[in-house]
Amino acid sequence: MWNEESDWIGSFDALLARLAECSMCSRRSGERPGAAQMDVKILDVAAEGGYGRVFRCLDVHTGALVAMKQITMVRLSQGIPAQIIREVSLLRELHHANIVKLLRVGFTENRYVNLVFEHLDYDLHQFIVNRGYPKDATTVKSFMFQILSAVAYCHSRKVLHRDLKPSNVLINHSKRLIKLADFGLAREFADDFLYTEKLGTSWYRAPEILCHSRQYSTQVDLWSVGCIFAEMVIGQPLFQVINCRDELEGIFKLLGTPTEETWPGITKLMPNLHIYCSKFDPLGLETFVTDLEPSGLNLLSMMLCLDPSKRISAEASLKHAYFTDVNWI
Amino acid sequence: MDFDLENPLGNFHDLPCDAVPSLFLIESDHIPPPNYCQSFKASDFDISVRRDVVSLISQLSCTFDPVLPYLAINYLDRFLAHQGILQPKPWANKLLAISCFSLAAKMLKTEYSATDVQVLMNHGDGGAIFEAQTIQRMEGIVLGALQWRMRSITPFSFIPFFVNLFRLKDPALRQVLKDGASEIILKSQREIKVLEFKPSTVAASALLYASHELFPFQYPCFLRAISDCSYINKETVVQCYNVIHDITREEYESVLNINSTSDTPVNVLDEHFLSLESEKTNGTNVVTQEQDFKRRKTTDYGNNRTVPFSHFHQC
Repeated sequence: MWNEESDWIGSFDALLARLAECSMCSRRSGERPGAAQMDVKILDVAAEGGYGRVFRCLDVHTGALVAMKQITMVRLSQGIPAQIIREVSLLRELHHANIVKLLRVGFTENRYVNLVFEHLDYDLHQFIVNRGYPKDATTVKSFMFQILSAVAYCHSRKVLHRDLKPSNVLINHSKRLIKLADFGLAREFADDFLYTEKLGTSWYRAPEILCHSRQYSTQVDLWSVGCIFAEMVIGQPLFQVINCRDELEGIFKLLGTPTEETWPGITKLMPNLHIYCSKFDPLGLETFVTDLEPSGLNLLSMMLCLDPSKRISAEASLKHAYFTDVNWI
Repeated sequence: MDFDLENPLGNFHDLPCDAVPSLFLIESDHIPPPNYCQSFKASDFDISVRRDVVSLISQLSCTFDPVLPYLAINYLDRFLAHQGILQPKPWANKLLAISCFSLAAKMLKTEYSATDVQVLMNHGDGGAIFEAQTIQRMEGIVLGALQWRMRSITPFSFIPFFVNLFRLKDPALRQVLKDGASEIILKSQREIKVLEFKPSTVAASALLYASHELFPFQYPCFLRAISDCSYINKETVVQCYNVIHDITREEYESVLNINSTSDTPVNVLDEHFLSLESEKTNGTNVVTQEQDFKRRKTTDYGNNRTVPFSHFHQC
């Protein structure tokens, strides 16, 4: 029985080997698992984390730079992890100029899932830290328009990103092209990794998530986009500038402590809201986000709105007066 | 990242307008290619083996949401269309059934007991017990064949959209209609001929069939709402409706062991389209409508459902 079973599965492997033209999951029996199986040549390790590693590679067919994300599989008693299947499946459905493209998927039995993505020059975090933030208003506006276009596309397909931050915004240098990346891939396998960077990631988290609400929706991404917007203008994370013990305190310090009038339902969501009551009058966005034109500040204030139901949508943002300035088009 | 696989058009009115056409545009990417049905018709053996695997999947899924078996069978058909092979070995088909079921359960975040699966698969069979690694390997093969595109658009995805078109106000009536259509969709999927139609067409036809059985007096309004939908091809809906009708009647008759020809007109949908055309030509034709109502045969669809007349709403 074992031999019979093995032959049967082997025959499928052989069939798959004939699909050399197929760009997805091309495999050749007998070949060493790893980079060669994915038709890439590894150049170096670009990043490393609890989930696995990211390699900078050359595509052996096109010679183009690509990024291969290698995710270590766990809980193999249940086969290929559900989270990986779901995330890859979703990435396969996203086709947009401002979303990083998944080129190839392969998996080596018992060990890794390999995802090959198009490569971009750097991310927005690196851009801000190393090259000085985009000082000119045109670049900020262009980047914001592209980010919002990608987010609006995802939301129109009921897809949330939930982890938008500058390091997940990739940039093609010569074209000044923006692409969103890291749609939550391997989050379930990176809990420890995320905790070590908790302060970093939570600077971009919406208040309803920080309140541990389980009923959040697309609005969480707009809050994150607002934080990115502010960071491009002032050159550092907005809620890092407002130095507080916890992020909610920083948010309330900036925008004012919410009340039932300003955020209906807040007292149920935050029974301990009284800790912050009357403690903060809003400092106001304009205190920290200087050098942003009035329409930009207006858009930012609608993104960084405490009440999720009143926060502006990505689609509405794209129609905002901030983007109708003909000078940048 | 998160998405509602079962109900991607949920809260239809909240979605931007461009979300609806996008679902209709991409649904063809998630069904077997057109020649899949023809390749099956050439071989009675393949049809019976597919039916066996479908039956295995249904056994595995009988306690779960109907989307789960539908999704698993969709994977099966897409896989067979890609591989072009059905195995005569019962254990191989069991492995394929388990793998498709497992992948669908993962996509839907449905927890299931691997032990229960093993027990069910080994019932009445002294055969193989599949190791986790074997199932994983088969899952990998299916994933590769489907190019990791596991978010299939199913007919269930379109039901809320069409039900909104019907403008039934009572939530209980809407649920009855949805449940009836879901039953029909699941039963239809077992037959190869339904695979020729797109998920949206299957959803529209199943809803019309269910509404014909459950709300016969409202049926003409529902039919008009479907006909007016610009994303739907009327002729294709007629064909699909008739296929569904044949499948449902076959099952109904096999249960009752009746061999007589059907009392219901085979082209009932054609008749109603003609009726609508007649109304448009002659204005309101009360006599024709009344005759239609009297002639129509009302059948309880497996349940004793009574609907208060006062809940009906004229279009």
